[in-house]
Amino acid sequence: MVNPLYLIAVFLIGAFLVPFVDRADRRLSLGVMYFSLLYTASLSLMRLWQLFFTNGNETQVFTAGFQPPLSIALSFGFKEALLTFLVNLTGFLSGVYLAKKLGKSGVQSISILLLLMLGANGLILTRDIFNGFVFLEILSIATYALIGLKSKKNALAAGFKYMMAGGLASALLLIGIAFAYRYSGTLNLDTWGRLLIPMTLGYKIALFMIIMAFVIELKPFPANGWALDVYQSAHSGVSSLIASVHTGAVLYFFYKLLPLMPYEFLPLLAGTGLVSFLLSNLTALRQKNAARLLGYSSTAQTGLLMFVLTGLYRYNVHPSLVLFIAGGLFFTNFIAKSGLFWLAGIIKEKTTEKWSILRKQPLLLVLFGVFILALTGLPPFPAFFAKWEIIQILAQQGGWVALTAILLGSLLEAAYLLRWFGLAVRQNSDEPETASLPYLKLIPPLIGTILLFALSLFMGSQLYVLSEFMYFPLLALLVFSILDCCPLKLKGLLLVAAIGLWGWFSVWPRLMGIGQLFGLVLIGGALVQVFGFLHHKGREAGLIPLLAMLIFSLGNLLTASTKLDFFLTWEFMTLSSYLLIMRGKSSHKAALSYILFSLGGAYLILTGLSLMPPFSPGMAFYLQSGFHSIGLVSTILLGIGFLIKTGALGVHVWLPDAYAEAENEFTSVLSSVLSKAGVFGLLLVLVMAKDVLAANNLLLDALSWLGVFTAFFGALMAVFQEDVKKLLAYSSMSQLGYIILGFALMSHLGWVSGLYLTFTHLFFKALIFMAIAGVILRTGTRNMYEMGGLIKKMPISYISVLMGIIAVSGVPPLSGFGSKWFIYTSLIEQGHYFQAGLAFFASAIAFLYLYRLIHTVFLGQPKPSQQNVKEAPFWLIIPQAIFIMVIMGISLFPNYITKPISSAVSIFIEKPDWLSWTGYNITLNSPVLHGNWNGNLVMLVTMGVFGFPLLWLLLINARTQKVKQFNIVFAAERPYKPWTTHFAHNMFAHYNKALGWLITPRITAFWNGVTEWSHSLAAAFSHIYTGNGQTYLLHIFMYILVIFIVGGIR
Amino acid sequence: MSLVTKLIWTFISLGIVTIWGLTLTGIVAKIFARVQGRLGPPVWQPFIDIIKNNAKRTAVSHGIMFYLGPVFRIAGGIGTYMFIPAIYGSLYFSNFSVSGDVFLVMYFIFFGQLGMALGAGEGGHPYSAIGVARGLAQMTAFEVPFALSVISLAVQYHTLNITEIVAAQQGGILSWTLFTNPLAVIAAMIAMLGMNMYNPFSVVIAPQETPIGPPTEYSASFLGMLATNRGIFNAAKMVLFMNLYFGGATNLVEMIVKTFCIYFFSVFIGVAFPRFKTEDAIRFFLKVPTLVGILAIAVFLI
Repeated sequence: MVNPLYLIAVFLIGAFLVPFVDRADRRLSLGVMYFSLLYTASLSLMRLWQLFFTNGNETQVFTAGFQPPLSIALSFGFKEALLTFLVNLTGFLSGVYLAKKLGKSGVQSISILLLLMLGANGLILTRDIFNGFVFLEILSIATYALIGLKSKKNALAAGFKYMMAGGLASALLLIGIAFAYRYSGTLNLDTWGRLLIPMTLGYKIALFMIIMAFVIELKPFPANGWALDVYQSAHSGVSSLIASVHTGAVLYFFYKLLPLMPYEFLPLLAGTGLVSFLLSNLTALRQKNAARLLGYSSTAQTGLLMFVLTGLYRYNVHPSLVLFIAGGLFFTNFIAKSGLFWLAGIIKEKTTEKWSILRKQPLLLVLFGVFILALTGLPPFPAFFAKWEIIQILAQQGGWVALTAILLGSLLEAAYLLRWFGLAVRQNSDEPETASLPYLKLIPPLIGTILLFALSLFMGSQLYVLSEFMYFPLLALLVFSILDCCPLKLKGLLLVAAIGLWGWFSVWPRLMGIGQLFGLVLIGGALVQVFGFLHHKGREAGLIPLLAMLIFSLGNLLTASTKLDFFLTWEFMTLSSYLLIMRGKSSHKAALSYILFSLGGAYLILTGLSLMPPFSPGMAFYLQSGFHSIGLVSTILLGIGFLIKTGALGVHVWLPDAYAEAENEFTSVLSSVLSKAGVFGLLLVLVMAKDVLAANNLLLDALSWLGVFTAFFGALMAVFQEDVKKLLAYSSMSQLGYIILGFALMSHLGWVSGLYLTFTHLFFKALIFMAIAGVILRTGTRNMYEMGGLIKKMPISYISVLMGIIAVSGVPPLSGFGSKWFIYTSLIEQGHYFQAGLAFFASAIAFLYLYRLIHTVFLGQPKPSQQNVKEAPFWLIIPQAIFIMVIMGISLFPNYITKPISSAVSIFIEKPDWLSWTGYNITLNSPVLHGNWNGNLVMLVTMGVFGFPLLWLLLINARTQKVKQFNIVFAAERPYKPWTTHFAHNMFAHYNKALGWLITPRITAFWNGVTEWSHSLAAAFSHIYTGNGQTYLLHIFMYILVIFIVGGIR
Repeated sequence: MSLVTKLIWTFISLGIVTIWGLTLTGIVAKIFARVQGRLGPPVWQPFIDIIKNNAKRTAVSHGIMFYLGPVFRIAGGIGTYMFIPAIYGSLYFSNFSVSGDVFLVMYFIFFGQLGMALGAGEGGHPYSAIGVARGLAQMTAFEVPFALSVISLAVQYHTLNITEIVAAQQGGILSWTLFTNPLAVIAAMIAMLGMNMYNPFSVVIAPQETPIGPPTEYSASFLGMLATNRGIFNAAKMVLFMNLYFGGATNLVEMIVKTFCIYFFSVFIGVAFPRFKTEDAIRFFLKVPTLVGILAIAVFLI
């Protein structure tokens, strides 16, 4: 076995050697430093190799040939090896990063850095508490000294504050050790652990002092003002070392001490961890300084780790699982946090708002994104798996307080991290391009990223059977990222081919019933729309890879079998769609609200899933769901989670902005395809919640009213929009409301109506959005009143929109009428008369916004500036043409869609005898309601009644007199300004007078209030950080005192 | 019945209803004039207008959609009629009502309105669009009591099939919905006032002032077609109301008498009342008539 003493010795020798060789050349001393760091890292790696591939049970080494307590024991097992490897590698990377700084600031700093590493390694390796104290001192002193590396006033002050806080902790520790020794008679942790020492008050207090010393070193909220100042003012390379190496080492020693602690301490420590996690994240909300923000995040993550190490024992969790969770969180945080600090040093901008200069640096942007997303706990990074396990444990065993705190804290953390990300990616700024990148400084974050991915795969594969659900979206992302330098059209066609082949040969054969229907919607619908993206002239970096990831995730949603697969896929979908929304020009606010609502929903789904019995791998989730039954809590959580994705009333706030600000073609995908993922989820919930829902009629009633109110208010809000995309966004919300309404009936006919609309909504909404994408592209505006008379310039787009609005409104003969017929008949059949009445009102209101849409854009008076507008590009026409053909097809032959839907539904809810198909005639002969609809005949009759008058008109009036613009009978006046002649702006003023009061934005105001209040709360908390070292010391004293009292240590 | 016979009878049925509808329009114009102290046009004036309009030499067109607008409109009128069984028990006058139920008819009414609105929109005349905006806004409001009334019928008769609804009302005047479900009839008749667009709901067409309303830009054969449709469409709507609320008709004479009486309801109100503004019309429909409609359903739930 590799002797751990080497690690210590190498650093020690290095530290002493450096001053000598420095006399010869500075480069030589740097060389010694790099060698020491690399050599120790490789020793750790070698140890890992040994442990994995050769028999290496023996892990302890006793120094000086004695047994404890005379000797000092060092342990070099798997945990220590992995940790020292990471620590030393990070040390090396930090050394590379700091190369220039160290070169300038003198040999002392190099020496000190090596000493810092010595302290960290020692703290990790040692099994002796006093030895731990010594290494902690070495670590701390080296850290103060390094903080002073940036010889600015605030850095020196921060170092001093750190020294005071650290001194306090050390004093506490030393006194604690001295007293504890009196009871234990040993300093060796292993021997000590085996002793059964009676828990007297004195002994407890001694232990309390020891553990509190480490707690203080771990910077818990609110006794962490000194640490935040350090993070903010130290050199970013040093901050990165403190956040990763220092915290890692201290945390590990904290972990080693835990077996000595009385059980009553553990909940106390867990509580402090949770409080620190939640409140640090909350306070960070207001933070604009990047380094300080990272400091908050760092203390929060440490808090969470403290909770994991001390809190999970209560739930009978296997220690190895605890380690897995802690490892997942720790490594993610370790690498991502150092990476972000490194980046902060490269950017050299203090406030987060200035980070928009990253936009000019694609590589940095990608690195930044990876670190941020990893910290947010999104897959595939280890923190995702860790959180998954924590929530599983807490939800199953009823740790609701902890669960709520963790999820809330995570959401807050996501809020500020992703806001920062949004600012970097999309904020409008006129920053001049930065000077050339310091390539040397780029190496550490780059290696960190690679390490992060490697660890993700390693950790994922350690505990789970990860299959295509993990790999396909990532692989798609990777492959298309590599191909990203190709021309857009080539990439796009390759994507179409890849998805086509995958969908046809891999996914489709595994689907049946409802799965096939959703397969068509999710994969087919998305595939057709890929063409629409290809009209762009540029390379559109990042577009195709993200689309690929999204579509593969959508497909995986159908074939996923276990809960983890399902959730992982769900998160991949959320992540890729978020990044795609971010591509919109000024989308950072919209994207933030999208991802926060999505993550909130995902956390609810996660909790709901955790409460469910395990699903067996192999059989698709939706098929298994038929055999499972879930409880009330799970139903509600999952239900709300999926409803957020569909944009139901109350949680729809993200929807209009996200739809409006995303790229035009992607809005189409969002509305027509992605919202259906929520529908799919909702359907699964209803399948599994049959028993619960049968017992609680109230739930279904609530859901159906929610659906119909979503439909109603969505439609009403759409009426008053001037922005064409917002109009369509609200329209989508309204349509999704009908789908929810149909599902809430829990009847065969109700589900058929929901699924029918799921289908037709895809066709007509994608059709309209694609056509409107062309219009926006050509006119350069989203305001409808700035358009007009485009019918002559863009006739094909007009036809698309015309077909689309006929289908949306439900006017026969197009397929939209089927959805209306199904929904009304199913509502009346089930006795939901008032919902039917309100739904009717909502669908009548739809005429208003649909007319507004088509009139103000395509009809009326054209604007002079748009005289030379051309038809939409060919690529945008392709999906429109396909969807028009599909709409005409299913309008003429509705059986091709109604029958499969009915048979798919009958797997879950049996088809009643009174519902029958005779040819194209659908007959309803229920005891409570008769009705029928023959879509085919309606189509033929309509063609007839349309054809004859048309022939007549052509016959008698073949040659009409064409007139020019403004040649109208206008009250004895000759208009000449389209702006005053085109009736478009505030079109439904009268409607607003009558019903506008209904849509005063109360819900938006509520969510704004939530944001406002949490920010105010954050501001209130941040007031405790005065910047005064004495105050900070007082905080620490008070903190210890409070914990002592709260803990009731007796 | 073979398809050819069916088509021939459909044409006959359509011809009758067109002539009746136009005559009705003429009678109404006459009545309005007399009430207002004028002599008024002859009853056959609508026929003269249509012939005259179709004979005009020039027809101004603003584009293809403009051209198709009246076609949509009349297709909507004819189609609406096609999906309603005109005379109960008569194979010859059942039209194509097997295509669907009352919801199909209610939605097909929109077909013509939508197409016409678009055609008028391409005309580029702001008054057309203003008329459409007013009309649509008013429509959303009066559809609410009407829809509630129809739902009430569905609860009452357990069917949406118009023929079955008529069948359920056979057996004497007291079997009519008018007497079995008066609340639904009240709601529907008030809604009908909005549909027929006489006072107080005439702001859509605003006939006295500058020519506001969708047909503003239409002339010649286009206008002729629109006028023809007005006859067909009005008659079709009255036949629908007759079927739903007044026991339907077993022969042509009964149909003519009943539809005349139903139409007269809105004429009576129309000559006696001033006009609502659009927003007031919306508020009006969503208050008392909607409440009556809700009550019409609620009585069946108790």
